[in-house]
Amino acid sequence: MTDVWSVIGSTLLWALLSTLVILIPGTLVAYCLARCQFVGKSICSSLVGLPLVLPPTAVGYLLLALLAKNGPLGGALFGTELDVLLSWKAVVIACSVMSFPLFVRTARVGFESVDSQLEGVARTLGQNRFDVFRKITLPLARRGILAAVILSFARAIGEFGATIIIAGNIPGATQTLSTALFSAQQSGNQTEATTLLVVAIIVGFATVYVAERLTESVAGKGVSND
Amino acid sequence: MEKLLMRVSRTLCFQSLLLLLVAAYASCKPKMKEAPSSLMVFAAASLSDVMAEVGDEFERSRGSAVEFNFSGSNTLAQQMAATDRADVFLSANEEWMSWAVSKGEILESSIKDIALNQLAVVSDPAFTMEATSWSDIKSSDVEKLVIADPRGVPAGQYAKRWMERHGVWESLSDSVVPTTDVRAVMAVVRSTKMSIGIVYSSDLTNGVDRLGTLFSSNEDDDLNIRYQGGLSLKESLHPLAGDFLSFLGSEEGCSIFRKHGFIVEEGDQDD
Repeated sequence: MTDVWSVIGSTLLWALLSTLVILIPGTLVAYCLARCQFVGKSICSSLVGLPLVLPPTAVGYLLLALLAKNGPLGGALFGTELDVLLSWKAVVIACSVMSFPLFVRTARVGFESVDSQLEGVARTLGQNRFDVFRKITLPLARRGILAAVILSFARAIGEFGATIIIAGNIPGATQTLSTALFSAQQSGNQTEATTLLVVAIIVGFATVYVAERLTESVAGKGVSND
Repeated sequence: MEKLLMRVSRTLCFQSLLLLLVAAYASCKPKMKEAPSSLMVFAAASLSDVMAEVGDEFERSRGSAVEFNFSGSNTLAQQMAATDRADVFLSANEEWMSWAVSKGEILESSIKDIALNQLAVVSDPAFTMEATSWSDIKSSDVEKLVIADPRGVPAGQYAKRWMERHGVWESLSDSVVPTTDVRAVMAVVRSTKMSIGIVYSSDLTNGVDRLGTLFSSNEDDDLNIRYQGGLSLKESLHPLAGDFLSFLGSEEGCSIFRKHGFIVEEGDQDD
């Protein structure tokens, strides 16, 4: 009934896309929170973490209200109809929003673990702030960033609450592994629910396993020789 | 330093390439699916199975594809208000259908009942309790009475109403265990000794959940558990939307509903 392969494919693709969407902004926000001092930093940090503690359905309804046809972000923006609700773009938005705080928290720890004296030395040797970030901080924090990428990807694969509200559960268009499982379970199709559950476990396990190996191999290669 | 720079730029290159590839793939794939404007039906999640079959049958006879969006009726109603996607709304209760009407999303005159449901009292097969009506059930016999949460879940609200009609809500309320939905009721009943639960009759046709049925509600209980269908009021309504709604009440449609354990009233359907 449900084409399991296409559901897996789309779920992984959307999770990957949402991880890519938050990669750059997430890294910058994490860096700012780790290294910069500014007024209202703790408020800013709490705001960023909000989707982590709010129920996903609450985030979903908030996004639905924002993107609704008569909502603040729903109309034509820059002359083009966005029309994201109930499309695959909404899946990516939901996944990005829900995994953003996880990304920032994890990457921030990565940046904080970098010895700031090394950055200071680079500054005294005439490097500007951006170069220090690019050449020193970023490579040294890469384990934290990689962990952030993996966690966000994993979070995005399992996203349900916000996704079903703004992207719907349209088989063949916006259905993900989680929402397909929900459909099967709600209509009492135990066989399909079990199949999807097994698939979800395998995909989840594979993700975490690959992540572990990747982190290990990155940890193995030091940067001390540079 | 140069090595480091090279590595960083290589990573950046690789990343942007990946991003481009994925974006290209993603942007052409869904377009192929969105191109033909097919009929969009927003349906309560408990109808997922029956609608998959109805959709295939409708497509075969009318040659037009049907797309479904499955979710809780409350979510669907709010999605209708937020977008112009739905042509047909199939709600699991009257409450959210009326809400959609009040928001100007549904044509009130198009609303019709598409299926009825009843409640059933189930127990674990190992629990040898004999009961054919509520008067046979004593609070001392039952350790747990599992129902969906009557404070928010329709199945629980119906269960409570049913028990109140028979004057047993007060006497049994100490053993009531509220759960998230009917699926959870079944799972708890199966794994808890001396427990009974209240589920929809339509849930009992899926042979996988081997639960003993003690008795069911009937028309006299007047529970009015009904699935309703209605047409959207949007300007660009799909030409086959009305056709789809009447297909649900046709002989073909009814037989699919019956196969999945829903109760369909013949007389009401052909208007």
